[in-house]
Amino acid sequence: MNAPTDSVEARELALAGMGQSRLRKEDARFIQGKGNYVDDMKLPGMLHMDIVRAPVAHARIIKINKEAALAMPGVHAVLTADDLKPLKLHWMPTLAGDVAAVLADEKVHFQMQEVAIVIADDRYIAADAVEAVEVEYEELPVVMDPFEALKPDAPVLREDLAGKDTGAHGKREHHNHIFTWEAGDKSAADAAFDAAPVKVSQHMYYPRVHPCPLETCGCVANFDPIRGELTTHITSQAPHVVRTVVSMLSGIPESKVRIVSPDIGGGFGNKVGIYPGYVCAIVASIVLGRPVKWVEDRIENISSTAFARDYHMDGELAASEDGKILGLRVNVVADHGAFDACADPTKFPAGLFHICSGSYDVPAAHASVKGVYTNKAPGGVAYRCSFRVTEAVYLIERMVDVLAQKLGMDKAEIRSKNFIKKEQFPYTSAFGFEYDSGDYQTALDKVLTAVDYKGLRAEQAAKRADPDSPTLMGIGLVTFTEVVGAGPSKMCDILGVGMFDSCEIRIHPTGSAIARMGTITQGQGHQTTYAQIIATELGIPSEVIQVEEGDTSTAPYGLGTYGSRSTPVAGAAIALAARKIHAKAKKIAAHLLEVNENDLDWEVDRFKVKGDDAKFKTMTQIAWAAYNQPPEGLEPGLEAVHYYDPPNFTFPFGIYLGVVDIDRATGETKVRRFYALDDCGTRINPMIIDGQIHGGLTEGFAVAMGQQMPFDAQGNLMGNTLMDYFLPTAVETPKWETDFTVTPSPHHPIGAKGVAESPHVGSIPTFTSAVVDAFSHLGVTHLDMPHSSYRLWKALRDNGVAL
Amino acid sequence: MIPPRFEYHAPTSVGEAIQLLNDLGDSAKLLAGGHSLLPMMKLRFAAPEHLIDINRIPELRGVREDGGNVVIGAMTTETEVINSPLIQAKLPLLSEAAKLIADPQVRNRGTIGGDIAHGDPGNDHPALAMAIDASFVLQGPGGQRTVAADAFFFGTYMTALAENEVLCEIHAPAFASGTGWAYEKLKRKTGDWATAACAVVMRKSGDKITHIRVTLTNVGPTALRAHDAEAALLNNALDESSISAAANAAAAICDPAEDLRGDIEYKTAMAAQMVRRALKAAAARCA
Amino acid sequence: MSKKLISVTINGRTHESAVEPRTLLVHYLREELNLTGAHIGCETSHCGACTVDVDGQSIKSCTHLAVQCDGSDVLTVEGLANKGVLHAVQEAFYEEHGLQCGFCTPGMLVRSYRLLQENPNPTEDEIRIGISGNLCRCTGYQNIIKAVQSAARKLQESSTTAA
Repeated sequence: MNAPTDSVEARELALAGMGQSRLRKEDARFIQGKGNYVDDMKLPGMLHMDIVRAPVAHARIIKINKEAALAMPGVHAVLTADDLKPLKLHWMPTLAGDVAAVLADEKVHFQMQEVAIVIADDRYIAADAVEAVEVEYEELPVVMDPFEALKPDAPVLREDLAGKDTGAHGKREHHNHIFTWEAGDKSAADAAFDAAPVKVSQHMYYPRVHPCPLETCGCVANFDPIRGELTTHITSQAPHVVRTVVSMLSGIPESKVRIVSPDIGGGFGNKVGIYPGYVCAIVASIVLGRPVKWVEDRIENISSTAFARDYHMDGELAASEDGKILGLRVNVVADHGAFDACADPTKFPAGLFHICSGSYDVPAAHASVKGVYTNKAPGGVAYRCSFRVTEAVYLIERMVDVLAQKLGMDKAEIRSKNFIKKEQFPYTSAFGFEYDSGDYQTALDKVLTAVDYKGLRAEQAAKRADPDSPTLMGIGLVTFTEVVGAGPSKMCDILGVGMFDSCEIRIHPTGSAIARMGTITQGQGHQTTYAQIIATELGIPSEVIQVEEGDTSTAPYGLGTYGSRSTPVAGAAIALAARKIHAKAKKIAAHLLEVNENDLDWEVDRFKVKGDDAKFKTMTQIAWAAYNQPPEGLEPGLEAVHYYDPPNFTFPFGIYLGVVDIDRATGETKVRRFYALDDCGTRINPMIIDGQIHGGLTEGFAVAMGQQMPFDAQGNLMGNTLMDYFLPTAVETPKWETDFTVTPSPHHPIGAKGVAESPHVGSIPTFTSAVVDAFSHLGVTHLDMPHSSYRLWKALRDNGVAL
Repeated sequence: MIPPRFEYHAPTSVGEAIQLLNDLGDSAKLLAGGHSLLPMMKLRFAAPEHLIDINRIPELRGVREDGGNVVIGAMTTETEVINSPLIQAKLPLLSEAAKLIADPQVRNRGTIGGDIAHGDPGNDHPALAMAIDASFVLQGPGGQRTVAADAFFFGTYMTALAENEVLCEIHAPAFASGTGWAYEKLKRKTGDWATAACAVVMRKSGDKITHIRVTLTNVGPTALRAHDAEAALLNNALDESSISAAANAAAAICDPAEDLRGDIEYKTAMAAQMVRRALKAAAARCA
Repeated sequence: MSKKLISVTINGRTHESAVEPRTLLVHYLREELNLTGAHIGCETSHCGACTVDVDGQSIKSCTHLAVQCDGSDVLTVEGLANKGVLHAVQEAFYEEHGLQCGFCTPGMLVRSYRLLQENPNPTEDEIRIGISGNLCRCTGYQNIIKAVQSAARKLQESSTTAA
């Protein structure tokens, strides 16, 4: 390509803006080992904190003996709930309207719960000191099953809630009941079922799993007693929220609290909540007047931080005889663990589960979710779930397969029949979501053609006809719509703070720029993609646009990064802040060119006078002028801030198809092919999108095929190390094929929807769909995850096809 | 994550190591590759007061031939086992099976001697050693002695190695020409111990099996030698009938621990499957 | 408990230190020498985020004692670049988008470096096995494999031109 350097094409390339697969700006430090993660920090006088944890799941604390630990050289303090009581910090509010113990207060509610903290000169002494703290427990009967928990004579888990028959989400029906939340129209749904000729139902369990980012959680808390200022570097996906909560809990004015999320080694929703470890480190720093570092181990991470899922779901579909869905009913029992610490928008204790009518035109629907306490660690919303969308998509996609099987219909055919059609958008679902845009059939056709779906079904039929076939072949298909971009503040708030997001942009006199947002990347590439948005909006090369996030003292207030909300919300704020600058720049350009604003066109990186290509001003020239010759009535400078309150969620969608071959002798499953088509609207950086898809599919593979958090009858969490918790290596991980369509969001300034959770949300039911499909000719309608070789071998044996 | 305190010793001869073991008694543990011991210490499941690092003892390294035997120093790493031209040529079962142990970094440190001496039923080399008719040279204050692999493993973490002895060498007869071999290991993922594994060494004359060893990993408190399975194969042809008989006989001696890899029924069934796979693969290698 | 004196060469510089025997190599590098490239992701020797190169071998530095490195030659991610010129593996990871959060990256780079020294022209399967001691949660390994393949080509080209 030898286009003249002044051509539109060349100038667009030089911007490296939206749509380009430009390489990442953040990579330089990571590839040279110069990332700045929490555990990399060293401050003068810094002490180390470690945590004494309960070995049992349910117990009274009889006695804590600190003496031996305190006597060890290098140990500065040992703190328990009793030490936090005078500060009223032994309990803290959760994001879900409940309270959680910071340090176990006379009672332990789950195994590995925090009981005491030790502060020492270094982490080695702290580890020794933890062993020296003696705790005497009186064990209590454990409740590990939410159905057992709701029995009348079940042990009382939350003695602190005794007598409270109303929780944050309404009436509590039982001492271990948290809430019952409903959506949709029950009577309409019941009527649809009563009238329908075909009904199917299926119970399914979405197991408890854990996001397990490679970097565990931690912080360096640093209270400066001279200035009365608290600075805390923390692995947080929501630093501003942390600042507000810390200020509220500590009484230190928010203006004197600085929270910094530095480089974060993966979040995946594990780093949204405020953990006891953070609170304790902050308290210790305030008490001792020195920086205190706390970084957890992997076992602590898996055992005590935000888990995901644990939904026991009963789905029902009502349909006509030719497969048209007439109604949907869902009942869920949700195991929340010992405290309701779900990171959901306040009004949604079951998150956005009511997206469970999926990509289909369902006229009547009702869903009910019952939250329950058990003796497990708190959490529930995490792991790229988009606020329970993983559970919702799993439910509806499984139900559609069950219906297809009942009617003997092809699984692609029944989906086409029930799709919300392109013309129907914006579409209001029976649960009240207004889907912004979609074109499911085009995407489905593309995938089925790409994989030769007919050929695959023919191959499967041939294999089924061969009794000696060493494998069972399964084809899984999922056509999901998910909902992200939380969210409109009238509906979505975290602890009362509306879920808007923000961007400020400042152009420097010599034409480069700095921009800050209220989100925080954990590997999603914001330093690159955000710069690309600004580059295209303002005609400044992305290479010279500095993007900063995570420091609450400089970044405008935002609600953080999770639930794929960055591009939908902050991305919109970025575009609109840029457009404010664009508008001012146009005035300056008109002034410089001595024309009327209406006489100007914008082209890539400059304002041109209509009809005279030689007369133009680039943004660089305008920037200089902004600081030197602003027109009358305009302030000097060239910057803007925008807080964006989204009018709606966005609705990315995808079509995933997976082919598996299950070894009949061992239950081992080979993922032969996985084709993932995603539509996230406008694509800012295709290379980064593909990377996110690969990663999300790999996580989904791990969840579906091997991850679990089993508890024994005594409440011990088994398999809480990487020996057992399934993180696939490069050997186990399949090769992924990606594809896309582009259906922009009509309400988003750049038409983008967000994408990073889709591959996780959509792939998990695809694997289940494929595995079940391998057995479906034997009448199997569902198999619960994980689809380990052990569990599949049992299914093979139970269905008489094990070799 | 943090091991408890210990004193560190790095002897440079076997004699020095034995002296230390003798003097320090059960407060000391040998540090070989460290990838069994150090993780246990980091989780504080083990807290020896003394570590005797035997990585700097040259006599414990090296692979050589001695008559018709291959002699492997106990501190030979898994990577060295994989890459040794001598082992590849004369005991290819070992060099191939070692590739199935853990991951590349762990293989760079993990040693064949450590894998054997630890007595962990999940380790692979015990079954491999029995399959190749290996014997182990042990050295203690009283001198040197040799114990056959078949007689070395008593129970979980219990072997013939006395507390004041060092495992120095593994001896095994080089495979005769035409020997077939295989190690089939079912595992949940890379780095996991076997759900069940089977080692087979086989020689045939015409159709008939003239030499057979069938051993099993991680389906009992120690590695197991499936004598009855071998009896079902010796002097017979390898066909569906003898394979089934061998697999069933092997299953009959399985006594696996139930864990997250599977229950007793599954692990036993998988042991039988690994026997089948290993027999077929070994037969295919018989010249 | 007595500290031990060790002399370790790290990225070409020799350091003399007194360390507790129980000090893990990864902590010695990170805390004592401020080489924070090697990361800690687990305590059971699975994740490989701590991988460094010791005497020409990839080692998980969390399962190695600093005292065991007396007299050793250690290469960490900080030593891959040569006077500011990135190593081929570093360039390749950048060009092929082989990293996202960056936490596994130092271990991946040092491991990939050694993998290519041992096997200059690996197949895709050999790469997957070769990095099976390094976990990544972000990338699904797909672009990491492309990066290693690209680095292999770069190294072969430069050795051809150098010859």
